[in-house]
Amino acid sequence: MTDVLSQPGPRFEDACLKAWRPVLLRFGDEILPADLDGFPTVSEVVARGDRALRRVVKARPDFCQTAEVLPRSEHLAQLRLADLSGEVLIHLRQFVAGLYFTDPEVCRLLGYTGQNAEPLPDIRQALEDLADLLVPVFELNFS
Amino acid sequence: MSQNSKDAIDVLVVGAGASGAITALVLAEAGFKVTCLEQGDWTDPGDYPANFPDWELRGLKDWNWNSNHRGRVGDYPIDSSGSEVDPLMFNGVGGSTILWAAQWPRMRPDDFRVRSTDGVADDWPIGYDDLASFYERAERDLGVSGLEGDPAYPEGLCPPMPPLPLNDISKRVARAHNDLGWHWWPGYNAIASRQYGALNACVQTGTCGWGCPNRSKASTDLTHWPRALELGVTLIPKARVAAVTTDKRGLATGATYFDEAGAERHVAAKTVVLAANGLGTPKVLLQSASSVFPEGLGNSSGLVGKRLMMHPFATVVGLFDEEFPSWKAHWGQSVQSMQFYNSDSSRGFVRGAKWGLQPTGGPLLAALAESELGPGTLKRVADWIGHSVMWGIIAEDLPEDTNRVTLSTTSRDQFGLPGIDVSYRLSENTRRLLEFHGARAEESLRAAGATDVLITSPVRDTGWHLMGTARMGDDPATSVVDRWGRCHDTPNLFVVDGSVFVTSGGVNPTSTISANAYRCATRMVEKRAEQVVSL
Repeated sequence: MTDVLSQPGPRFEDACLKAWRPVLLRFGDEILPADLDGFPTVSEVVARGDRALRRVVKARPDFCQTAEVLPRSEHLAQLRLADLSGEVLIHLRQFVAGLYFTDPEVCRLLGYTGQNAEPLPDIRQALEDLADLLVPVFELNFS
Repeated sequence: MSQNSKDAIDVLVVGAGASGAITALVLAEAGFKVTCLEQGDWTDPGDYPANFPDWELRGLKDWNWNSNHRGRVGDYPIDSSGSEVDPLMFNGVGGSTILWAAQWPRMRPDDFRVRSTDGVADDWPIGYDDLASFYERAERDLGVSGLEGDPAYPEGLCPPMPPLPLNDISKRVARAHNDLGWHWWPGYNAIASRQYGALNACVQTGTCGWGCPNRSKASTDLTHWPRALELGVTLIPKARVAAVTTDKRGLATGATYFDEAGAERHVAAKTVVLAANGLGTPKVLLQSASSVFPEGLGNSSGLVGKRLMMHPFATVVGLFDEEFPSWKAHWGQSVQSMQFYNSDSSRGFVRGAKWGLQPTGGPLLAALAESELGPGTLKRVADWIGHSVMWGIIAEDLPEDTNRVTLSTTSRDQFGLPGIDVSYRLSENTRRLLEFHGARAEESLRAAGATDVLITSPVRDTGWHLMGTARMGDDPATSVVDRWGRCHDTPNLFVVDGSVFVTSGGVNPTSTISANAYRCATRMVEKRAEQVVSL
């Protein structure tokens, strides 16, 4: 696995996801509990398939470098979150939060529609509105 | 490879950010032969995180404000374990204007007279009037939007573009200030409210802090470098300066640098200008120690690297029951308040802070606003997204010799050059100031209808404003450069970035850095015939 992960290529992403998936399933719900009604759990988002995971590692290819040092799946059952530290823990938290809060269903439930472009409103009208709003400021005698 | 002295250029500028770009442009307009060395590279707005739905995740790595997390080619190691604030910057063409929020408040006249008015720190050798015309040029050249008539400033502040329109939540906070009898004013921002030169009108993606994909935010790669290159300036990216070289008389002769391939090179220059920011400039000066200057170049006062100021920053987030697009609008400041900017000793501290009202970002930023994820995180995000607005508090910190930058004895960059260590502690004055302003900002947001308010003070990862580490002054014993940025010890070496600040003011410094760079560069042009050079 290490050789594949250190040599970006056709199998690089697959190997990366193979290393991350069990770690996310093991610790994801503990790191970010879905403690609001109606929201999916992290493990449910992970279990939906690799599309979302691929989206995360495309945004953060450095996560695949960390994949080299992730605990192996056969050791996960004995590990606690407190046993993890350093960059592994930082990346795990970022992976979990990044995966969860870019999930379309989670964003929909939050009402977050993204950073979409929207032209400014009419400047002339905005200036007229400001003129009224600013009247009290001129009455402050501020200096 | 070394240039022969007969090939010496007129001016070598180190750093291609705001002050470096301005200096290169002004000198090139006057016919100087200029080369600029920039340790980072060009950026492509098509690569900015906001082009992607996972913009926040990308912003945590390649576009992180903290260079230690980012690790790009232009970055160098910074150990801030001895600091309460992490210094932030972007190393590339455009410098930190690539990732800045583009808030553009000027300093006020009293900011230059802190010793006279409050009996602390020092007065600047220059005043607001010395900078006024250069503020105007900077505002024209970068493209600043705002409204004239602000009673918090002297007459003559007239931005070239109208202010960015206020959204509903900003109007609501403004009305609350009207009810409280508190000052507010539409924000000054280097963000285009209409098509302006190279800038397109803002489309409110709210991602200014991670690069503007619409080219609406002024950054000197857009506003200055194209013209400077047209005028013949040679800009060499991915060039890490090792040292300013000097002759036996102590005059600058150019600089050595490592190129992209790691080869050491030398540029011979009649005059050298450092514009590498409040960390990079003292780093180069200290690295330039020689037999003539064993403590570092320009350091006969012992002040190079000392008096670091970073504007400790607090966020005060108001949570509202009503829904509104809290992540939208520009990420400059929609509203600015100077209500508590003036010193008032009855508060138990001196000096003050500017407040700027901003959107609060997307869900990942909300989740990571506190250091730990866990139970309650999701509720906090749900409460935040679509329900929040934020005052950013810029605290004026006073200069102290113990807050400083030194060369690292343990870390090295890819060329073997030392990294830097940052030591920075908040003073009791700053802590009291932040506590007071946090409480007043909470009053503001509750008056606007906030049902809950979250105060984070100080926010560790907010040391954008790097100032004071090569201060200006008239006395060589107590300053590094004179009022024109000329190094007392080496008269053909200049510093034009935030390092020269005597005190920090309580406002974002780029307007003042830019105005002062225009002022110093203009002076270099005017006095060119008198300039002492080595070559």
